[in-house]
Amino acid sequence: MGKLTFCTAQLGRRGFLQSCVLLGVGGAVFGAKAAVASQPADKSGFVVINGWVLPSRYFRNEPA
Amino acid sequence: MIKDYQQQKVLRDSYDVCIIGAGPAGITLGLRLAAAGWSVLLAEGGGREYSANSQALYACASTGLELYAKEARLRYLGGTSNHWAGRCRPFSPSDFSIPPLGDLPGWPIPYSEIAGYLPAAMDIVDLPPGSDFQALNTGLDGGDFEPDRFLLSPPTRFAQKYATALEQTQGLDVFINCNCVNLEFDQASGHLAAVVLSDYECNRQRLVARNFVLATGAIENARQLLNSESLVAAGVVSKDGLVGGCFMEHLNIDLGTFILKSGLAPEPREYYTTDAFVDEYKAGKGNVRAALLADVQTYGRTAEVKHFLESLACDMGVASKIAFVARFSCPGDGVISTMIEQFPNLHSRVSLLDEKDALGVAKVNVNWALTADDRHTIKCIGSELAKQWADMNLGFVKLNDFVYDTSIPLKLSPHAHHMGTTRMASSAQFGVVDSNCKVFGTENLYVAGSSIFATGGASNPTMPLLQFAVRLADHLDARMSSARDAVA
Repeated sequence: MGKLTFCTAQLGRRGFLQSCVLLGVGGAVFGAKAAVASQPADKSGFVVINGWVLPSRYFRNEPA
Repeated sequence: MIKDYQQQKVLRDSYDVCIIGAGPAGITLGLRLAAAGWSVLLAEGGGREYSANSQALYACASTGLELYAKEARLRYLGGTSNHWAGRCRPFSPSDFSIPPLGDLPGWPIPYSEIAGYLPAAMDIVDLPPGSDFQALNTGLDGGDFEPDRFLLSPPTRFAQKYATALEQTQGLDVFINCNCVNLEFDQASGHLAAVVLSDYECNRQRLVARNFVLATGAIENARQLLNSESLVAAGVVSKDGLVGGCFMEHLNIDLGTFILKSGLAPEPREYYTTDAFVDEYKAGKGNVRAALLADVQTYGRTAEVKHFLESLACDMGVASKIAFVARFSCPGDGVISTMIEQFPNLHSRVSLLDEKDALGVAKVNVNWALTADDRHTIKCIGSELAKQWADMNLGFVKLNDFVYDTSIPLKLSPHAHHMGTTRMASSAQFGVVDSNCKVFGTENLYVAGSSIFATGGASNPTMPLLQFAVRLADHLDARMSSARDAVA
């Protein structure tokens, strides 16, 4: 089962961004190196945004 | 025969068995024991129909989660079967073999002890003999959720279905409007000597029997025990002990919403956690039901959901996509509800109050409380279901925040499945009744109904409690027969 990481509105804007960076899905957007964004730690993982549990592949800088 | 205790108070001098409460458990026990040749008094506090006068005696305070105690139960002939929905799912072996999280042990008996009584219980609630419990759908990949399997009783209304039997079974005296207001325990002999019965004008009468069975539901069974000063004085019952503790419900959580992939069948889907799930996540069991909204079934998917799916799939840039999902507030295609196991804990309890009801019986407070282990179960079920829903390409799930963030107060509603307040255990250290449903420290006082459940699993309790009731009837029949043979 893939890792599930929560990016909730309750975390606040700063926590939300940090969670996205941790996931490796927002690296390019938020200024991390391109290598970080293109090599997410958990290829089969999920993110939770606003409660929606979504495959992290939708949030990489590569075709979903 | 059925007599009204308000008008007729002609009881026998003594009965082989006195059963308090004529709901599913009490009626089942009464009919089977009388059919076996024993003299049985079945005392029901309410009348033939619902009355505010009787129902008022169910009023209780609540300091915990709201459980709608007064509305959930019905105090008249047939008991809560009068508004039972009829869903039947049997316990499974793992309900008995896997201990619950927390400090208390699970069942002291294996599942095989009650498995043999399943056909009898199915027959009692009008399920076709030998029929398999049915699944609506297939399970989810990943091994955590199998299809839930259940059958629907018509549902059986016990007062109606068994009306003729209650009237005509030899040896059975059924009294309605006949309230038990005290249990008189004789410490020297270890026997319950008598119960005190009362009509609605507080005319009281002692009733002697060889054996007594409390079958009044999980709140009232505990209340009867706690209210008995003689049981408390003898140390059989302690006010902060196990009697009344471990009050359990099944948790009806609004997990959230879901989007169903286009083209899939619109019928509801029901899943049940596997034993592998329980083992992997160290969590409880649960049923999950995903059902489309009526509007979506009728008119089809909303434009908002179509837009959501298009946006998710398109190459719009990660930041924009996250921002879009974060703002998306559409209710989706359907809703996800649950029936989740609550683990036994002593903080969740029925306690006696100083205030008395109209018949002089002490009222109770119910403090329905969950633990972190229960929140963990809810979080695991929600999270894993959502992931596997996506993994199987069924669509997507939106979880409510209180499902995955345990710091947020839980929103839940009860299922009216009251359990655990006189739990079965191997010793008085861990429970109230022994493996034969006899109250520890007594020789002839038994308890029937879901109050004896050591754990509740996520099975609807009516059919399983009937398995235990039939088993108790067999036990009492064998015990009394043995005593009779010894005398002869």
